Amino acid sequence: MSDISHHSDEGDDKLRKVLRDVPTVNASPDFEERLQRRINEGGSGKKVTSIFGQLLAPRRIPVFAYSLLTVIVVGVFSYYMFFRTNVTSVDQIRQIPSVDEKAKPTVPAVPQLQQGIDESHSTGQVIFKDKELEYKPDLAIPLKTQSKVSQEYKRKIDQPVEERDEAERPEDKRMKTEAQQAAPMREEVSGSQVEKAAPTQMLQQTGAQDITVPMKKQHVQQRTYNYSVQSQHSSALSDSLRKDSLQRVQREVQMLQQKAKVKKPDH
Amino acid sequence: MPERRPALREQSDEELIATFQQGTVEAFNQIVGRYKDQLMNFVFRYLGDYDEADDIVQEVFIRVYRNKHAYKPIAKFSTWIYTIAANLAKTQLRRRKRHASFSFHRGKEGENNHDYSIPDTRYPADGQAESSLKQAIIQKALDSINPKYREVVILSDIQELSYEEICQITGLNIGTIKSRLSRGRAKLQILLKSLLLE
Repeated sequence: MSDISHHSDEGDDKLRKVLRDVPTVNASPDFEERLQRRINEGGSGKKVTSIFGQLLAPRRIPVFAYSLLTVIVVGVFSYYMFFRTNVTSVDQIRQIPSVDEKAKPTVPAVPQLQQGIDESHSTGQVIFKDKELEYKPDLAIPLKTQSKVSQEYKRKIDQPVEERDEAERPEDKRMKTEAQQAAPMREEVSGSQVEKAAPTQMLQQTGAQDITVPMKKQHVQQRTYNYSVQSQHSSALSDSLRKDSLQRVQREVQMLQQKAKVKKPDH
Repeated sequence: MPERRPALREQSDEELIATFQQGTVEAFNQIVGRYKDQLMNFVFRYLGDYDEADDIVQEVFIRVYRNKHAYKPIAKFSTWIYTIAANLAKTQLRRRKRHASFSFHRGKEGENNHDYSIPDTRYPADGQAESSLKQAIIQKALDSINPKYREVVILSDIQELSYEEICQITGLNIGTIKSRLSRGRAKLQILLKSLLLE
């Protein structure tokens, strides 16, 4: 241990001696003259350069490089953030709903469609509760695709109720009479509904005029459907309407085919 | 009878700066004459470049000239002027590194690729031509060690300042000074092994 420290001290001594013997470096002979000149100039002897020279000085190059890099990054970010998304202001960004709001099922306040065969239908218009839309032929089933069965169905609807009753099947008539017979029994059970059950008798007793709507129109008004659509011009709406109409026509076709199979009883 | 002041040559450093603070420019010239070689040696050993050292020492005296009233006689004048020189030399070293890191002409950062230049023969050292090689080897070794060790070694072993003066110049405590001095000397012993064995 003592040897190591002894060697270290000896090395330090040698080193200090070597360093002490290093020749000193003196200032130049004209040092004081130049110093006096610089002091008299009033400045520290630094070269006075122009504004552009100071701006483009080598020591400012790193600053310019970082600034340029920052500008490029901000520019690229802005391009992708605003221009590509057509968002030009911060307010528009704030109006974009958050993810949580998007997840909520939103029920749009859409107008309800009242589709039916009425006067407006004949004029080629579809009535909504809120507003009226123009009738678009492309949304309806083309006339060429309408079968004869559906045309017959239309004709049947337009037919007066009396004529239609005559054409009814005997089974239907029988069921109707049974229902009429059962009506008085229901009157006994609920006396408050007497007026509803026998309106003709009431009219005869009171002598009031019959102001009921004609049967044909009443029947038509009963065929009122409510549809709720999500969008006014969506293709889904047109498809669903078209599909609904096709299904309805198919049902009518089946019904008429069944009727055709049943033989009419001989009168 | 007015008190007779001693001649400027006989005045101490503190008296000279006090005289200069009172407006006597000759006192400043006396200060320059006393310290120009000391500071030149210190800054040159620290930076390893004569022209840079010359510029730094001139800047030191300009600052002393302009900020003469900043000196307070609570410390030695030598430590005050050495502190200015050390700070300017460190600043120059940082500036040089910054330029080197952004320069395309220099090698990789960390390489010891300082352009060592032997002082001009017009300003000969106090030695003979034989010692030039030895001086070059020592300067290269000094440039190789860490600047914080280099500063302490130069102040202690070349400028032969006391620990207290080094503490005041560097602003470090004496323990740190000794530690740095020991590490710096150890590195120099390795680097100057061939020179020390002679």
